[in-house]
Amino acid sequence: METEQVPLPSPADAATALREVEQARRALDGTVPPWWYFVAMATLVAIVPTVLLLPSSPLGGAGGIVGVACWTTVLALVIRTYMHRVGFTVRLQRLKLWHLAIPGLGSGLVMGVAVALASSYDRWWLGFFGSGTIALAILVWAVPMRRAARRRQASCVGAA
Amino acid sequence: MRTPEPRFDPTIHAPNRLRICALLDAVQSAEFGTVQEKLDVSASVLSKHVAVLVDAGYVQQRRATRNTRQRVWLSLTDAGRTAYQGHVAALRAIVAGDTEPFGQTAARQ
Repeated sequence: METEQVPLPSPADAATALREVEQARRALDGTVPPWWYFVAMATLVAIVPTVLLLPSSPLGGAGGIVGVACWTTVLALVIRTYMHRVGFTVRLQRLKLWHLAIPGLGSGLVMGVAVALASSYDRWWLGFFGSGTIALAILVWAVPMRRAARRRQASCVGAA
Repeated sequence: MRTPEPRFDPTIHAPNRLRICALLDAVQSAEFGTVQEKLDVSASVLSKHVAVLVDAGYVQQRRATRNTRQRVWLSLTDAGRTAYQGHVAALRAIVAGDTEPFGQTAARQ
């Protein structure tokens, strides 16, 4: 096979190439997540305690299994539609662990306490209080997140 | 995280290919149209460079149908990610004034 020697770039050319790399890496940072995504996720979280309303009978158990299957399917559809809408899939390794761990642990704690209280006091609505709090947090979090993405989008356009 | 070994890669170094790899390294996969829009290149130019990267084993393509239209999703292979990260490390070394460790690898087959 023919081999062609390619001269190494000068330090100035290498620095230019690195700047292009950084610009390309940031090209997707300005992607503004659509509103419906947060609304869909908040709704999915809010309805989780519905499982508390199921009767403790074989029929209730079957209903719970079907419900969880439907919920998981809708969740997968929402994520899939979101990825098709924005045009890329996130690389999880690039996300700092605490970006997922802190909200995940916090939500799990709130949900766990709410469900435990709902079971202890036999008040089903306490479960919805917990899930509603998390759903509200998702909707509130959407505002600064979308705003920050718009700012990054503007800075990307400005840099181009 | 392990620091990649500096390794200048002429296949990646072409400006558009370097940008394609940089964008794909930031994600798991990206749709062809999204890459085209974000990098502001024509479909034909992107196709040409993606074909080179696919031939080198650095990029893989996956076809998916959505709304009856076929879309192509691009992602870096493990070899592509390693080569890209090594190339960026080599560029950083050049900027830092160190060109010794990877001069021999600058050969295009």
